[in-house]
Amino acid sequence: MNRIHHEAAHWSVELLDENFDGTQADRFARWLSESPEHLQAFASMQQTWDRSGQLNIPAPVERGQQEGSVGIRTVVFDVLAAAAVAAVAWLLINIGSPAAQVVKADTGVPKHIVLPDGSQAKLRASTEMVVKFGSEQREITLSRGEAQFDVVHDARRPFSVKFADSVAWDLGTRFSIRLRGEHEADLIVQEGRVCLGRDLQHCEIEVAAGEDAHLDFGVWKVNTWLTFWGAPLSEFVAEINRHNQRKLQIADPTIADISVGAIIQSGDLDTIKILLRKNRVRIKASGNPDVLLLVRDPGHLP
Amino acid sequence: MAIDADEKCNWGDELLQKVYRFALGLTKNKQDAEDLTVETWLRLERRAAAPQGSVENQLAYAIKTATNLWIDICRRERRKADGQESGRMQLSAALQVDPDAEAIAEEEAERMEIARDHLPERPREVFRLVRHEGLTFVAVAAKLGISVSTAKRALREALVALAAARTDEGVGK
Repeated sequence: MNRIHHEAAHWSVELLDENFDGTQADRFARWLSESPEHLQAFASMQQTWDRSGQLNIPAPVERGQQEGSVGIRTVVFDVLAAAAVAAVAWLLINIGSPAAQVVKADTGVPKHIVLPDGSQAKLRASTEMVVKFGSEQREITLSRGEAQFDVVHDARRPFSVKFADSVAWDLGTRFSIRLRGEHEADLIVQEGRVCLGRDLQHCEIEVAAGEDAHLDFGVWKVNTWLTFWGAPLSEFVAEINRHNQRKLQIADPTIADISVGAIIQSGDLDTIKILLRKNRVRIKASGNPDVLLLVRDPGHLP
Repeated sequence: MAIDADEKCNWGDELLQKVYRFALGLTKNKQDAEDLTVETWLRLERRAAAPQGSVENQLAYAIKTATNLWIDICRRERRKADGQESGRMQLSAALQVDPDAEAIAEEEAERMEIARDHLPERPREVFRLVRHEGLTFVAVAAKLGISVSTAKRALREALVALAAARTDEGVGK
């Protein structure tokens, strides 16, 4: 670790200070812009900070969250044969109260569990989640790491996974979630469909088999290739919106029929912006952070 | 993303002005600074709407957000310049088929845990209190009977040691 890394650590710590002020912000901007190495060192230090939140830290056990209790059968994996889903041993635990329970896969030891309803969860090493099954809900809270869920669908009792300010619930499916940081995560759907939203009431995005979604600072995007051959802008917007939590909205009806042709990744907002600009359409902020407005570029009036 | 002049004037928000000033200092480009400020504002609004929305210091959070966004933009530009696929595709590919990446992450986590466990008592305790209990520096200082600057110094020491362990470099290297 050289001087630049120590300076990056200094700024990482200062940004945690509740008294960080505008003067420090100016100094930080100057330091960052002095050299690409500074930006790189800061990014690396931030990555360390994010990862450090996922380390295996012994924490006080909260009431109702005693580890390894109710209704969960644990299959311990041979690490070398983990991918083959070969169970080595079963640990059958008695069913107790419907209280939440913590399930952990320690460092270097993946874990495969069978939940009380027959659904299965494969936890990668260094993963932690809380399982709470009741008569009306099956709820899992993923606090660290990565897990794959193979869900036995039950429309009367939704199977949901809470993580990183979001909730995903199954529509009969197999899916994986990986936490990458406090507000960063990936979701991959192997079978069926998954709903994503901030609560169980609103399915903001539906992710289908073969698609993956990425959470970046609390905003979900689905990555899939979309092809448009001279589609009207209204159709383009509807399709993009189907894959993004932040929605585009045509604010000027006169642009709705503009013809759009592109092969584009649904979550690549940068490229979408460029494409729209080429079509003389501009994106502007609305009062709602979840909605971006599309207007005609004033430099290109009809 | 462009911003209307009147929209910008209507912001009238000291926080956003500071973020814009920071973004301008960082990007050295007015258009990039405006884009970065709007993106940061959107993230802040989103964060405020989230259940865990209260942020101790909005400015620090905004600056960190703007910096991370800028880092992402720079990375994307570099990938495009290198002719690689988008980062999102790389991430998803890594998640599905790259067992090496997973193994590397595991090794990094193991090295970081070892480094953390070998920290001197004060940095280790300050790290635990800030990172895992979410205490402010003032609260940590009061709890441990040390000054705020000592608490910050201890956290810096912990962070450098963890970074060195993660990247497999010695602290003194």
